[in-house]
Amino acid sequence: MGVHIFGKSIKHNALVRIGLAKRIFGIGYQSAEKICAKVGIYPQMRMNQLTEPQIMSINKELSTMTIEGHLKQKMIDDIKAKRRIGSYAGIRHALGLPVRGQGTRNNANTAKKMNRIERRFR
Amino acid sequence: MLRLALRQPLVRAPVRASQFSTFSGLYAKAAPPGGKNKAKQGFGNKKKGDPTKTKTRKAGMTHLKFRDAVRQLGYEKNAPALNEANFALGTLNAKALVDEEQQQSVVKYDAPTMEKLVALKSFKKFQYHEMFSQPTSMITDNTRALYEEFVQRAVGNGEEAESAVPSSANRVCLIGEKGVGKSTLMTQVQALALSQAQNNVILLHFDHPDAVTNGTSDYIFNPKLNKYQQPMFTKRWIIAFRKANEKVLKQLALSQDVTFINKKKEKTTLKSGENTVWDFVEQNHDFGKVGPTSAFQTFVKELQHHSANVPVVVTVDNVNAVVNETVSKYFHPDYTPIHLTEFEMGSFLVQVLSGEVSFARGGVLMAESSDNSSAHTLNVGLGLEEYDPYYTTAECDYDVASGLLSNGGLRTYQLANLTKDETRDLIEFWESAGVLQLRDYPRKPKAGEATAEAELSGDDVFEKAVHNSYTLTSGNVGGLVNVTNFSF
Repeated sequence: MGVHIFGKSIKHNALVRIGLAKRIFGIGYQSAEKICAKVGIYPQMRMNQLTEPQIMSINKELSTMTIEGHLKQKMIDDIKAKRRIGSYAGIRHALGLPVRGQGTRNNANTAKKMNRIERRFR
Repeated sequence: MLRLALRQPLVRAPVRASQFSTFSGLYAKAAPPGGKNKAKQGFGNKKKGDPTKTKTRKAGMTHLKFRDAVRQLGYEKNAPALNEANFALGTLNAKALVDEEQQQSVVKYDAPTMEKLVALKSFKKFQYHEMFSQPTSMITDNTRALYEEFVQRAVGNGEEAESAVPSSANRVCLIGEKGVGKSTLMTQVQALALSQAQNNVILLHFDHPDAVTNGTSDYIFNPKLNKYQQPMFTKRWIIAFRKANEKVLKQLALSQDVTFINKKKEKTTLKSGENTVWDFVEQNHDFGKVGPTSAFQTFVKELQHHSANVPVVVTVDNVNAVVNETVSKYFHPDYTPIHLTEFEMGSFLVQVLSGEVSFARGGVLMAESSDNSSAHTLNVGLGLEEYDPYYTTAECDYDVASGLLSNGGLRTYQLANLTKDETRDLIEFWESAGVLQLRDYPRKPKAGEATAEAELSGDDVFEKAVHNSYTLTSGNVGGLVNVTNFSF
């Protein structure tokens, strides 16, 4: 049984701060800790111990942040903007090549998989 | 270990191939698609078997490691009993300690004392109590010294109860290497305080004070106190406290009227003079209430009020875990860490340790643990080390350290290892109780000899074992347990 937060099912026995970081795109360990601190969730609290008001408070906090689809869209838009202005990073994205100076003699497989104007996300 | 291995195998039994087979399923009768025999769906429709038949459980399977398994499986239940029939042991009490005639070194705790100490969680996990059916301890020079230096000052000297001093003037910290017996000595002191005061003493014990800061309890802010309260931790601690001190609390009348909402959500008023402190801690569920409450403050006031008649002994084990790491795992809403003193319980602890909260009669005994980080706060607070202004707060919390130094400072007691005679006494006890494994030293028969006599036997073997153990461990009790061969 999972606990549903922000439309995501999170494992019931996961620590809240870990579960949020693992399941929600755009939430890392620090952001998760910040949310817990703001809502008043103690560090070792687990998902199945959350009360309904606490889940609602977490959802409220998450809704103020740029996460999940919005964050992905923002990243795509940023790449598009770079392409549009003709920046080097934009060109590299469009060519499906590494953006940050990595070599291309061998491999560069991650870049080939992900770097494109409609960037893929894992 | 051998006994556990024999009776309760830790090795998983091999899985039979048939358990993975789907063959039998091919011949299984298909369930009828509908009609009368249609299987009901849902969780409450399990077929109930024969009610007289008890469920058989697999014996001895545990996923725990041995160190944890001995505790979980109640290993001490199978250990040799220390009763009159096989091995008579004296009990630890103040009278016997000062009595020159009764010099028995290894003792047990009497039943009422045991009950209280178990409730307080004074017996810790890795103290090898599973060796016998009930905990034993050894009276050493450390015990006698602490009795004179701490117990008599806290509780009073026999009939001269007025000789007791306030807890702020009677603060002692036990220091010493790992395995020397600091926690055991603390338990002995609790038992001696009970015995000296004829159970007319209140014991407050923190076995793991780091639970205040390690993030395992819920926390809410009380704007009135300007402190964070930890309902789960406070409630658990109060339950242990009241279980251990039930009899004495029932004799103490409340000094003020207290009103609170009880478990049935009815308004309850306890009246001063009529109701007791026991009624307060038993009926008041505000300690675990998820909301601001002043229950703990009232509780401390009551203890202070009664401490003139009933001494209060505070024992804090593993003190450096909390004093050396004052920055907790909790956060303010603005994501800044919460300091130990910003918690109600943490603040109480620091105030008691520094003598700011004092009981008219009593004492504070704390023991450092060797398992924690080596920050400097405790050493500076004990006056063992000079404060270096270049220390960061993580290295040394100046406020806490200076608090410990205030009100006359703390006394330290460096625990000594066992002497060779004490080591011999302890090993002798193990041998008498039948848990020591000693064997003769055989030698190979020389040419022409049919059998060879053992090089050593009897007393010589025992003496050699004592000598070897003492040489290897310098009389460190934890070390002795590790190097000795036990036979169960």
